[in-house]
Amino acid sequence: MITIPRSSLTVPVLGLIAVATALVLLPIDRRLAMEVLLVLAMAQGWNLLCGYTGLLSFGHHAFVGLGAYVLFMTVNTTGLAPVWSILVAALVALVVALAMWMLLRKLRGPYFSIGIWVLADSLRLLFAQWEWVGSSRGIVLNPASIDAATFADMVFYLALGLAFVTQLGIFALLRSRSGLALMAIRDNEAGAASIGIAVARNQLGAFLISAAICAAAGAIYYLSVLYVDPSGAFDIDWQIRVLFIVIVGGLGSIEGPIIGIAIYFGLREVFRDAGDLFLIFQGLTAVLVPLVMPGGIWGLIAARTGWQIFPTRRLAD
Amino acid sequence: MVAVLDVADVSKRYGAKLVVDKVSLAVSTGECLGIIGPNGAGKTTLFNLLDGSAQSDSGTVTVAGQDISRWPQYRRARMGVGRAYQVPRPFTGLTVYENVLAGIVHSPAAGARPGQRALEVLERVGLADKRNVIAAQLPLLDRKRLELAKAVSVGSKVLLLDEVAGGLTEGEVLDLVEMVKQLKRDHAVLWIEHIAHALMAAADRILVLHFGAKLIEGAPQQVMAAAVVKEVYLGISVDDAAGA
Repeated sequence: MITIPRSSLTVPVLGLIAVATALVLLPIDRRLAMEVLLVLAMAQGWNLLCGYTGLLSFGHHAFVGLGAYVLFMTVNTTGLAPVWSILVAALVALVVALAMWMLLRKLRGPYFSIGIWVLADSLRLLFAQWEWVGSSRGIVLNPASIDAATFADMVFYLALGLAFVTQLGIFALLRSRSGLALMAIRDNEAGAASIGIAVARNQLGAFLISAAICAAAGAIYYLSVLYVDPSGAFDIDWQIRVLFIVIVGGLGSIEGPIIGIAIYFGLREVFRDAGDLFLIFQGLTAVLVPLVMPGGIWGLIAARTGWQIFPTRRLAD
Repeated sequence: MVAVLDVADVSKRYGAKLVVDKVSLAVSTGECLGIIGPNGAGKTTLFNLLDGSAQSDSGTVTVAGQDISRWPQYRRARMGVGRAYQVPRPFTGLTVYENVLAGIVHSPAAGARPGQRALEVLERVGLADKRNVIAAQLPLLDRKRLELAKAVSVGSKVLLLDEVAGGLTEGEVLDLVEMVKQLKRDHAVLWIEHIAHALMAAADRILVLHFGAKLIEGAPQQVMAAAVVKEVYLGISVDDAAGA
């Protein structure tokens, strides 16, 4: 039997500081780094919902698009600074997510997955018809609202901030009392209810948190491109990417999505000039990894070694 | 003595089939009520109605004077209804200690030192030396012990044990009987079990369910000897039994 090694908070905290410093100081491609950070935040949020509370959402691109549109409309109509408009985007996403929950709360398993997918596509159709938000033509950010000299840096730091707040926030959540409830639900939903855990309330909480994170990430991403249209912002490709990253990396752990991110962007950069080869290898990975490693790559590593980079275990003396 | 668990006329119907038919029972702390009956008699459904994993159509369930008939499962657990399932439901990715801790921290009776209490519970079921082992790696007897520990962890007043001796070896069954006797001291215990000698050793009374209804309830020896029990439970007709 594996004995769990003692762990401290030194490794994750120093590790995150090192990564942040490298991102800021080294001459890396900041556009790519920004995208990596935003997708990492989305993947961690989605993993909280699916990996821990078992709700497999196929519709989180709804919140990416919603966040983008709320940011654009807030900046263009009220003149509020883009930074603060991200918060508005997250808040609106919370309200919409709550309304969606009212419709989806009785649906579980594949019914939930398909239900939220339908809602996400309905939102895309709605925004494509809605004249006030530019219908299918999309909208351009009011150029007066940004400062061209600092804009590139600003969106990069916003993405960095969101990724770190998400990463540390979910880490702290899993170390709290709620974390024990979330991990119990992950391992056995019916068993969790029998020891006094309010399963539905935890699922709602995870749903709202993941919606707000995806909305903030969508807002920052489309802020960086200064233009948003319904077919891009509500593209299910956002959801597929996150799904691939979390399943391949390892569902239900903090480490899994990080590994998945490395694999996804690694493959994409390797096959950047090779056309459809990227899609072929992505598909192969998506099929082979779950077959060989049902818990994803991190699931296998953790089962073999008991390692934790972000320690969430409570050890008894 | 006032009963901790008081069940009055609970019924449950699935479609045309009446699965639990006006069952009443009462159990006090320090007491173990054994429940037997043929397959499909409604034993597990009765437990579902008590712990709230299913809602009864009629009747009342009262724990420590509080009517909990309409409460959801997690509130009943917090109120003190602990359940050990027939097929254990461990949190496989968590350690043994965390499995028990999860129940304790969600109980209103958690106290200031939940970690300490978790170790005490593990001590009671004999799992203290495996506290930092991942639950997925436990052998069957230890999974059954952990299932008991989880049922106790919520600060239970009432323990519902559903065939916890199933699949164990003779020696392990005896260990389990000792554990149940020990838990009985500060809990009201209901125990569904097919292994008759285990139940006889721990139960103070036995209740026989048949087609969802209470057939007979009384002292273990008396119930097991009753002709009507032999007929429904062992499949021997009263005439055959009399002729033999």
